[in-house]
Amino acid sequence: MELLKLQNLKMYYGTLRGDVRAVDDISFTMEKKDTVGLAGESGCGKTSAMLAILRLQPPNAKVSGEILFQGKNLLKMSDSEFRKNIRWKKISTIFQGAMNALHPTLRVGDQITEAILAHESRSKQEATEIAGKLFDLVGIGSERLDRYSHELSGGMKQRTMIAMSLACNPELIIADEPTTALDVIIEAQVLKVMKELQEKLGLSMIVISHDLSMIAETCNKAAIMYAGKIVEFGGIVKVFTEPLHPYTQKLIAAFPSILGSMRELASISGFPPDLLSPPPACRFHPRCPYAMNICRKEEPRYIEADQNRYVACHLVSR
Amino acid sequence: MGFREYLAKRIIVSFLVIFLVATLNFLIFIVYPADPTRYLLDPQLARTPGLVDVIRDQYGLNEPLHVKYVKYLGNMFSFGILPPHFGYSFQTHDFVANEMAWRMPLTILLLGLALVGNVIIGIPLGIFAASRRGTKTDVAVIGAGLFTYGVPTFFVQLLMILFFISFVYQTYGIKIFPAGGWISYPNPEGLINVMGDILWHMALPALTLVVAGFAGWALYTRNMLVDALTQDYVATARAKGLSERTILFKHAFKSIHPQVATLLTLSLPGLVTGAIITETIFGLEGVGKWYLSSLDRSNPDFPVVQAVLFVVATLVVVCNLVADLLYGVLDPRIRVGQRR
Amino acid sequence: MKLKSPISEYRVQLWTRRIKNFWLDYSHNKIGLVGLVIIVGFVFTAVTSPWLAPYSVEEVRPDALKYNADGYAVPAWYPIFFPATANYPPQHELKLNWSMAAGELPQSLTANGSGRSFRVYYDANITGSSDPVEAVFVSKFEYPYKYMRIFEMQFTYNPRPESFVEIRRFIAGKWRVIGTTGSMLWKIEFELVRPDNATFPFWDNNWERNKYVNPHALPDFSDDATGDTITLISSDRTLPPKLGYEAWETSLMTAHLFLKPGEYLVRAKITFKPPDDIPVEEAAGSIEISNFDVEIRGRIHGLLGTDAFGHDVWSQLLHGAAISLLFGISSAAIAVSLGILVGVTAGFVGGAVDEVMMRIVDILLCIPVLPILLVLIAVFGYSLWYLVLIIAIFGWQGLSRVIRSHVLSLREMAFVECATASGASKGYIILKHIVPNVLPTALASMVLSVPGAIILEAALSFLGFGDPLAPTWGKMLQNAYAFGAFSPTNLALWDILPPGIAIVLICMGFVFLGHAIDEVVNPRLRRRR
Repeated sequence: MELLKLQNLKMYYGTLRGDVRAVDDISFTMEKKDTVGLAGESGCGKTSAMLAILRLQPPNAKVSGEILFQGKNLLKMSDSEFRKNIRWKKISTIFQGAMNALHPTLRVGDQITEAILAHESRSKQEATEIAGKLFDLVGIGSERLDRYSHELSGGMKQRTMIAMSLACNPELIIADEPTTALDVIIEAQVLKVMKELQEKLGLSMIVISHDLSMIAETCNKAAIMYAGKIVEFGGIVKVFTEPLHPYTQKLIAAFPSILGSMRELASISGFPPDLLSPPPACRFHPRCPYAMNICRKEEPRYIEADQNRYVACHLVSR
Repeated sequence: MGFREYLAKRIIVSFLVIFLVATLNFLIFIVYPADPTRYLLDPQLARTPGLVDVIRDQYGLNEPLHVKYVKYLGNMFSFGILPPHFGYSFQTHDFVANEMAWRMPLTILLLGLALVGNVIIGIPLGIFAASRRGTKTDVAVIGAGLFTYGVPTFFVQLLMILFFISFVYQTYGIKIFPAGGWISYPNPEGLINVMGDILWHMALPALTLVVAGFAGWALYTRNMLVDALTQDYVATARAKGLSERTILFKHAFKSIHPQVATLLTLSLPGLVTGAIITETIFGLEGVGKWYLSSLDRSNPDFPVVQAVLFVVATLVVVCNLVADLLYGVLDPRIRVGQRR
Repeated sequence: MKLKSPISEYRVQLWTRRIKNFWLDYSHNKIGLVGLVIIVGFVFTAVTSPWLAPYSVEEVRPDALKYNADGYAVPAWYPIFFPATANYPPQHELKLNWSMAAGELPQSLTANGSGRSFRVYYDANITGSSDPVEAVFVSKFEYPYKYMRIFEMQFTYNPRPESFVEIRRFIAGKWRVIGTTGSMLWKIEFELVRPDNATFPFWDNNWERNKYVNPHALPDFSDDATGDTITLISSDRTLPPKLGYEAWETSLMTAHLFLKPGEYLVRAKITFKPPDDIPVEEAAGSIEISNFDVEIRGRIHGLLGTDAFGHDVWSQLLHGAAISLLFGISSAAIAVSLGILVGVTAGFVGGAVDEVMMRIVDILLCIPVLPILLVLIAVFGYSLWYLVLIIAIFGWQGLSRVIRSHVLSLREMAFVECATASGASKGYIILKHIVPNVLPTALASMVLSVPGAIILEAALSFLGFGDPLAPTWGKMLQNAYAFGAFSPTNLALWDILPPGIAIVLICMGFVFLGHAIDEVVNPRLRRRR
C-alpha cells in the first residue's frame, strides 16, 4: 500500500503583489520503506512542499489538492486530530539548520522527552530512557542529554535532530536539507548515521536537498523540482543515468563526479524564475536549449513516461 | 574571564560612572547664576553687616571650590547615612536625607503599584495577543500599544481627573477617588486606617499610570513573543505535535524571559519621570514633586536637586548592572555580561 | 560638452526605482496612509496657521492684555449640546456714537461735533450768570442678551480752559506765581439707563479745574482730570458702590447691570460753572469727550471658546501645530544624525571604540531624561532651540544601537568586501555603501522618535518649564489645569480636550507613519502580522 500520495498539491503565498506560486500542482507517490529525494535549486518550492505535508505553512499560504497518508487526506483532518495522531507520531521531520531548530534555553534531552510525553503515555523516566537510547543510537552518548543546544557542535545538533525525529517511531521522516550547514566530514558522518538507521529501522524518508550526490547516496527515488513543479520523478538510478527532462540533464551535468572522467562542469544559463509571475507554459523554456514553439504556448502535462517514471516535457510527450 | 573578575570590573566601571555623574552634578550648580543667600535671607536682614557671610558659612558656600568638591563627594557617596546627610535643604534647613526619607515611601508605593499593575495586565495581554496573531484581538493590542506610544501620560491623567474628579465627584457627588493629596484631612485614626487612606489616595494616580502604560508593555511583550514564535525551534515544537499552549508558554515565552527581565529592570529608572509628573498633578508629597519644586527658579534648593539626581544616577547604574547579571543567569547561551 | 557619467545615471535610475517600489509597498499599508493623511493635515495647518487663525500669536499669548471674550467663554456650538448656554452673550465691542439729548442747550453753551467725539464750549460771558449750566449727550446701544459677567468701559475726556489765571502764594515775604489754573469748573457724570429705566450712575468727577505749574505749563499729576483716559472694569471694587451695590457685590452688579435685553442708554452730563476767584465773565472753556468704547465680555466665543485669560483657544491650537511640528522634526533630525554618526562609527570601527560607545549608550538609554532636562532648563534657562538641542542629545541612543547592528551585518556583505578589495577607502565605503543602506532604517527611526520629542516638550511645558510666551499645546494644558478649567463651574472641555487631542493626533500620525515605513523597509517585521 502506498504510504504517501500527493495529488495536485498547490501552495500559494498571498503577498501584497499577488500570489507566489511556491508549489504548483505537484503529484507523486511513495511506498513504505521508500526514500524519496526531492531535489532542485534554492527557492524551487522544496521546503514549501514539506511544510504543506506537515501543515506548518505560514498563515498567508493557501494549500489545495490532496495529501493522502495511508489513505487519509491530511488536509481534511481537524487541527487537533492532526496534531495528536500524525505529527511526530506518524510523520516527523529533521529541519534544516539544526542550530535554530533546537530551543536555545531548554535542555536537549527535555526537548526529546516532551515529544514522547506528548504522544505516548509513558512516565518521564521511561521517556528519558528512550531519549538516552536514541542518543546512543545516533552516536552522541546519553550523557549529553542535559546539555543546551549551544553546548553541542553542529554535527551533534544534527544528530540530536535525527534522534528527536525517531522519538515516536514515525512512519515517515521528512529531512529538510539535513546536512547543508555541516562541513564535509561531519556531513559524511551524519549521512552514515542516517543510512544505518534507514537499514536498521526500515525507515521511510523524504530527503529534501539541492545536493544531488547526497540524494544519490541516500534515496531510492528522486523527484526533481523546478519553479514549483516536479519536472521528473522516478527510480534513482533511472533518473540519474537516463534523465529525460532537459533540466534534470543540466542539473546532473552541473555536478562533479569523482569517479567519472574529468570534464568541464556545465552551468545552466539564466536565473530561476520569479514565482510571482513565472514564465507561461513550460516554466523552464527561457533556459531550455531545446525550447520549441509549443513550449512557449502550452504547459507540458505530467505523464508517466515509463513504469514509475514521470516527466513533464514536450520533448517526451511528443 | 571568570565571573568574579567580570563582576569586579563591572562594579568598578559602575563606580566610575556614578563618580562622573556626581561631578557633573556638582559642576552644573557652579554655573548656576543665582546666589542662594539672595532668597534665603529676608531682604531687610540681608542688609545687616556680616549676616550674609554667616549664612554662607553655615551652608559651606564660602569655602574654596576644591574643598567644596571633596566635601560634596563625601556627602554624596555616604548616601545620606553619615552627617551631613546630603547637606541642608535651603528651604526647610533640615537634612536633605531626612526630607527624602519620609517622601521616598510614598513614591515607591506609587511607582510600585503602577509597575505591578502594568506588568500583570500588560504581559498577559501581550501573550494573549501573540497567541492570536493576526486576529482582531491582536490588532486591537497593537493599536492600543501604538496609541500609548503617542499619548502623553499627563494627558491621560488630566482626562481621568476630569472624569473622576470634575464629573463624578464634584458634579455628581459620587466620591470614588479623593480629589487629590495623599492623606485625608483630618487624618484618620489608627495605623490600619491611615494605611488604607493612603492607598485610597494612591489608587487614582497609580490607575492613571497603568492606563497610560499597560498597552506599551503588552505591545512589547507581544512583539518579542511573535519574534520568538517565528523562530525555527517553534516550528520544531509545532511539528512535534505539542499543544499551542505548551508551545506558547514552554517554548516561546520561556525564550523571552531574559528580555522581559532585562526590560523590567531597565524600566525602573524611567519610572522617575512618571513620578515627577504624577505627583505634581495629584499633589502627592513624594520625591518627584519635591524635586520639581526644588527647581523653582525663584527659590531653588540645590542640595535637594543634587541628592535626588545622585540617587537616580545610582539607580540607573545599579539597574544596568543587575540587568546584565540577570540576563546571564536567565539565558544559558550567554555567559554573564554579554547582553545584546 | 559635458559627459553624463553612466554611473550617476544608473544611480538616478536606481533611486527612482527604489522610491517607486517604496511607494508601491507603502500605499498598501492602511495604517501608514492614515498616518500620512494626519501629518499632511498638520503640516498644512502649520503652514497656513497665520491665515487660518483669527488671532495672531501675540494676540493670544498669556501676556496679551486684550480679551477676545471673557475667561472660559464657551464655544459657539455649545448651545446645540447644552441648551442652558443658548442665551450666552457673545463679545460685544461697541464704539459709542453720541448725539445731543432732546431740548435746547443753555445759552452759555455751544456744542460741536457728534459721533465718536464731541466738544462742549462754555462761555459765561454770554449770560453773565454764575449758575451751573449743563449739557446732556446720549448714546444708545442694543444689547439683546440677558446677562453678562464682565464689562470694560473706556473713554477719553479733555478739558481745555479758555484762559488761565495765575495762582500766587505768599512765600518768603513775597507773592510768587506758583502755577496757573483754568478758567472754569466742570463736572462730568455718566449714567447707564437699563431698558426698564433703572438708572446706574457709573462714573463722575467732582467739580474740577485744570491746574498747571509754571513756568513750563506741565500738567499737574496730582489732578487726574487733564486729557485723560478712564478705564472702568467691572472687577474694580470701587465700581459697585457707585452703582448702588456694596463693594463686595461685584458679581451681583455684573449679573444685574445688563440683565434686561433691549436698548441701553449711556448719558453723559457735562456741567460748567465759573470759579470763585475770577470774574464771571472771564469763565470760559471747553470739554471734549471722545472714543467711548464699551466692551461687554462674551460668554460664548468662536470655534473653541476662550482660555482662562479670555484668549481664543482655536488660534492657540493652530499656532501650536507649527511649534510642535518644527520642534518634533528638528529634534528628531538632529538625534538621528547623531545616532547615525555614533552607530556607523561604532559598527564600522569596532573594537574598543565600539565597546566604550555602546557602554555609554547602555547607560544613557536607561537614564530618565525628564529630571535632567528640568535641571538643565533651571540652570541654563529656556529657549525653544536650546531645548530642541538637548532633547536631541538625549534621543539618539536607541537608534545608534539599531544602526550599529545594521552596520555590523552590512560590513560582512559581499559588496563591501568587493569595494574593499577594489581599493576603496574606508570613508568611501562608509559614504557610498554603508550610509545609503542604513538611511531607510534611520528614516523610520527618525519618524518614530518625533512623538517622543513632542511629548517631552509638552510635558516640560505642562510642568511650567516651557517657553512662557510660546503658545504650545503643553502650555495650554498647563494653563487650563492651573487656572480652573477643571473646576465644576467652568468645566472648560474646549480648553482641555483640543490641545491634548492635538498632541495625541500628531503623535499618532508620526507613529503610524514610522510604523509603516519600518514595515516597508524592514520586511522581517511584516512577518509579525
